[in-house]
Amino acid sequence: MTSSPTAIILTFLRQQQGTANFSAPQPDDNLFELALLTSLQFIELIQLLESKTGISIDFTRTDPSSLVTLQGLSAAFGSAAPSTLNT
Amino acid sequence: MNNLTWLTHADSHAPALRINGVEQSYSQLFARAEWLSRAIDWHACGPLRLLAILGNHDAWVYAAMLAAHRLGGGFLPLHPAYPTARLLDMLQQTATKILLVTADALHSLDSILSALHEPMLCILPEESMARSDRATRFPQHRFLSAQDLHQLPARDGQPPPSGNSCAYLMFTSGSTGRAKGVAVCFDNLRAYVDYWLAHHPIGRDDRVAQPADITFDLSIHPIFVSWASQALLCPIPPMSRLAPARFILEHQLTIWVSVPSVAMMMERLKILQPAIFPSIRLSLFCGEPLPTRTAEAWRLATSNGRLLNLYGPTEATVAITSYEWDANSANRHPHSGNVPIGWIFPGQQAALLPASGDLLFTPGEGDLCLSGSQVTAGYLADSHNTANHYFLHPTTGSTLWYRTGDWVRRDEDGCLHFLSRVDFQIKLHGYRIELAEIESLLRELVGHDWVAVIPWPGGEKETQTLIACVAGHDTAAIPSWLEKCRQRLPAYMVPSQMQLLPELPLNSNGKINRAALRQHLQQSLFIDEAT
Repeated sequence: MTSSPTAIILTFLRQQQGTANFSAPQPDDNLFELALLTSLQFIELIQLLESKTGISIDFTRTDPSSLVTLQGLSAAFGSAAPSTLNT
Repeated sequence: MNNLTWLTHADSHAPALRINGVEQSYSQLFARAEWLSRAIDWHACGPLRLLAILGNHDAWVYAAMLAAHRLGGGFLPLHPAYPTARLLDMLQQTATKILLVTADALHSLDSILSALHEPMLCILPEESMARSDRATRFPQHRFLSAQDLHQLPARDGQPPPSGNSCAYLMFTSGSTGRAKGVAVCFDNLRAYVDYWLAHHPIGRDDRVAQPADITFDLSIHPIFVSWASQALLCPIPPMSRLAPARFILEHQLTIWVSVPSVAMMMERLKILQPAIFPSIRLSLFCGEPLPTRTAEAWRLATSNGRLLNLYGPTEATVAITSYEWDANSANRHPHSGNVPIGWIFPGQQAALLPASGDLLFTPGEGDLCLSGSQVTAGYLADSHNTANHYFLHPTTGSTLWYRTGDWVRRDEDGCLHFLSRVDFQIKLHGYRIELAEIESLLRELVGHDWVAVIPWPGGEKETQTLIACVAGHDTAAIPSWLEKCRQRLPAYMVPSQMQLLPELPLNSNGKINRAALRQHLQQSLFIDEAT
């Protein structure tokens, strides 16, 4: 079964945090401000999403500031993030 | 009158600053600076004459820098995301008494004010910044709103009392557990800007990128070289810096100034296609080693431009050596991993200090030592660190040298190559970090000395993160230790994880064996990832 972009992102964040008490961010939370992503992890996440979804981001048209939330990332890779998340 | 080059275009209608979608001409920017300077009375500021600026990506930050300089004083940039304790320490070390606060920093202000016992004059220049009830809640401090500023009389510009007066003060990570203040004086800054005006001039048609926070001294280059040249300064929003291709194209940037990490990230995202950035005519990289692979990718992406790799510690005013990477460079350095740091700027001096203690001006290897008009005179109120890094040498008379701690090789033709650090200082995405500063905090938190911070993966690979290793068994305490690190250290210095070991490996001298720790991490992290 193919995972949704939102599921891929949450799995990635959970792995990066490496803690059992990981709680999913809200759709519009800035993942950098929550210290859930660093710039290098952002690159890795984009590469992971591109490989899993087959969608490539054109950064000459996309400002990365639109990709710092769960909502923004999910939308860029083809799915709408739910308004609230079950953790 | 003030004769600083970057203050000479006050009447120009050329665009000076484009930030958050709004453009200000030089005359508009200087009018704001003049207006802000009404609130600045150096008599109440202590000998350093510094205006503290709590803010980052905000137009008022830039007017405040100019306001300080037009009155012959300096500025102290304070990042609103820094922990309160760190900001307080910076204010107290400098005895700064005037604080300009921008809209993006209001959330940090209250926690600072509640902990600050010395009276502070706070300038809140944005019309939308209501005075609120701060004057009641913090009666020991004074507040000036936009309305208050309108009531104050204008102040005439004045030159700095001397060339040795502080133009800006930057804090860098300190090995003793406390940030070190580097006071860059007007003569230092003037020497730096003059070098660029003479050797790589830019002009009114140039649009200059500023992808660094104002608390990172690489931002000094685009700000002051632009304003000395009537060019347009374009600060890049923090989140756009992750991959600023669209920003570069939209703003048709002509001058690029950043750490190599930004180019490396764009390279990994496959953005650096040949000739993708045709408007860029000069690219400057500084702050960390520039991989030759990245340099070549960037050179091809900016096919109409030149590319310079710069090197310099904050103590020598942004950058003091340069190497031009061109179409033939890859052939000249076929096996090098990183671009050379190049030749010392004309008028400055570089010497090597090998283990023998002789100061060498010939080819060889040694700790790179710098002197000249760009080199600062010492650390703020820190005689221990000053004595460790600034020195006179018997063979060079009264010349003051700054020992960088960077081990370099000098070729027969004078070209310098960075090899390694001589201590535990590292660079992470361009940020200078003393591992000892983090370890000092960890020792305090865990209550013993058996701690070590390992740059990861490190070795010959680029550092991507920091891993703290601590002797002990109390895994339940790790979240609170990391939380305290987040409260006391800037985000880039907080370890990404903490590993507990029954004991830390020691070498034959009884010191913590960092190589063995790295090996242990390689094995344990590999096992974790494999499972």
